[in-house]
Amino acid sequence: MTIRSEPVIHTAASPAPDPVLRAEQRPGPSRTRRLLRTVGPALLVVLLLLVAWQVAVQLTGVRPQILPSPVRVVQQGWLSRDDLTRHGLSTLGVTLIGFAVSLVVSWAVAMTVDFVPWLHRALVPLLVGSQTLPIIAIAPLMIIWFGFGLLPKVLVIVLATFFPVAIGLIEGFANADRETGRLLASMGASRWQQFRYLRLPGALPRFFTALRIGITYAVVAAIFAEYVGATSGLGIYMSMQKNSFRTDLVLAAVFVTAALSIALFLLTYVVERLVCPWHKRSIDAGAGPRDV
Amino acid sequence: MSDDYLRLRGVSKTFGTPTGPLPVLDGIDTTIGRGEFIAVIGPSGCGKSTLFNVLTGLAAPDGGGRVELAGADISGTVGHCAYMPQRDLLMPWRTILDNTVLGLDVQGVPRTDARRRAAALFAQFGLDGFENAYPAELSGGMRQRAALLRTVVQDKEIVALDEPFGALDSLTRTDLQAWLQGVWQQHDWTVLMITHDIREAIYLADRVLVLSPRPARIVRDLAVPLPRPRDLGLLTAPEFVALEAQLLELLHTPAPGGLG
Repeated sequence: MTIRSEPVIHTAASPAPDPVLRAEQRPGPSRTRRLLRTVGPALLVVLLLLVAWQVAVQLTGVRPQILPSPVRVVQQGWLSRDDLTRHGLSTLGVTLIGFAVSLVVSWAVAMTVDFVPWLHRALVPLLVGSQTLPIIAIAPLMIIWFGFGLLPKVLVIVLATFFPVAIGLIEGFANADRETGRLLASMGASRWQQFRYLRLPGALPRFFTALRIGITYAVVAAIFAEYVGATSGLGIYMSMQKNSFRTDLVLAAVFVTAALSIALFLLTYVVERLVCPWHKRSIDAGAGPRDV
Repeated sequence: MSDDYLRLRGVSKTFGTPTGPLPVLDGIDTTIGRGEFIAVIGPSGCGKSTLFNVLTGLAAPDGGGRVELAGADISGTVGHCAYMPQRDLLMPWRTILDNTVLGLDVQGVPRTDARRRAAALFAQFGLDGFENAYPAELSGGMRQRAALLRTVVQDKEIVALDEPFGALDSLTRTDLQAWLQGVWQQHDWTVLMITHDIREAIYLADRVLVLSPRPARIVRDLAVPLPRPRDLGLLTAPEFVALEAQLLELLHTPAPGGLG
């Protein structure tokens, strides 16, 4: 598969009927205005909620150990910024390592299942089963079995994220257009060539959807694994602060977690744009996401 | 023009279905000369697509039937026939140039070679300047031409077109028919084209094979002795209309022994 992103050459072919209007030629709102329109409503809602929270805390005079105001959370969080950064980076590292392992495993399983049909029937129920495991019960066992190091956290993340990614890939591969498969077969394509030219690129949009779900699960799973037992990370930080009734710092760590998840979530769009340059251009050109 | 370049000998095909055997092709016999343009026309569901599957080697004819190319038995082997399906099936993730070299990629032709071969045809196919566009950025007619380019650039002995213009609006279709006739005359492609369109069949083909309702047999092998190049004015010429009337009659009266 080739990935190129040079712009289209805008020369009209002489004998051709007019091509569809290019996205770049269409009048539309500027980039910043479009961005504002996309994220504006979400920001507004968050802002309103924070204001309501602040007002409620001030009006009721509730003790900060029970519910600190958002301003206090930010103030105290800022004072503990060194701790939050250190633990945040630790969580980020664990998340990325765990998710990377999960991706490797899910690609390996999905490809195996695609090439060996009977394994599909053998393994998919197992995958579904893995998703029904109560992580809340498994995570402490992982600590007992594997200690406080990286391994149990990676395992918890893999357990939590493997399923959506693997299923997304398996279904993506399996939904490859049959007619295109026949076309490739008529060209003499081997099974591997069919995978490489058709099933793999065709599965990418689904994969990225699954990736977005998976990466948010991964952060939650990392925090959870750390919460149960770790030497560093936002999870163990929250656990310690809770035990010393520093609700404000627990919430500050929650904010950091949310920011981390959102950043990783948005990152998947950047990666998708780089890997699937056709996707956006196809949508811009007025075609809906089409089956391939 | 040797008269027996491609030969179908007693090609039959019966599928097993839960409700019993379903005969689809019933002894198709014909010979096709090198460089001939053959249109295959028949009622819908008559087994044209199965015939094409046999031709492309995706399906083997039932015992006794053979597909021969220049005297050699090619039944059930792929690689002799470049096939263009009804839908353009351009891959949305490949640029137009990359789409057109798909068959060459499969054959293992080196990339630069393949791209040079395909790029050389872009002007003639009216795709000049769209090498790096994605399929979704092209009009239907252009996509269909790109699909045809992908087919012929494979340089196979036979070009099989399955209703290549069926999904286009009638103006674009007429344009493309005229254009296809032009490029066909410049190359020596041996073409088999499935169509539902009687006019398209007469306008483009040297011979029209008329199939019966399922199980398909050839009920008429109609030569189209109209001079080339044919222009669109021919569509109203008396000899054209006479052929059209013959085909209409054949296709709309139940063939003896057919399902009617």
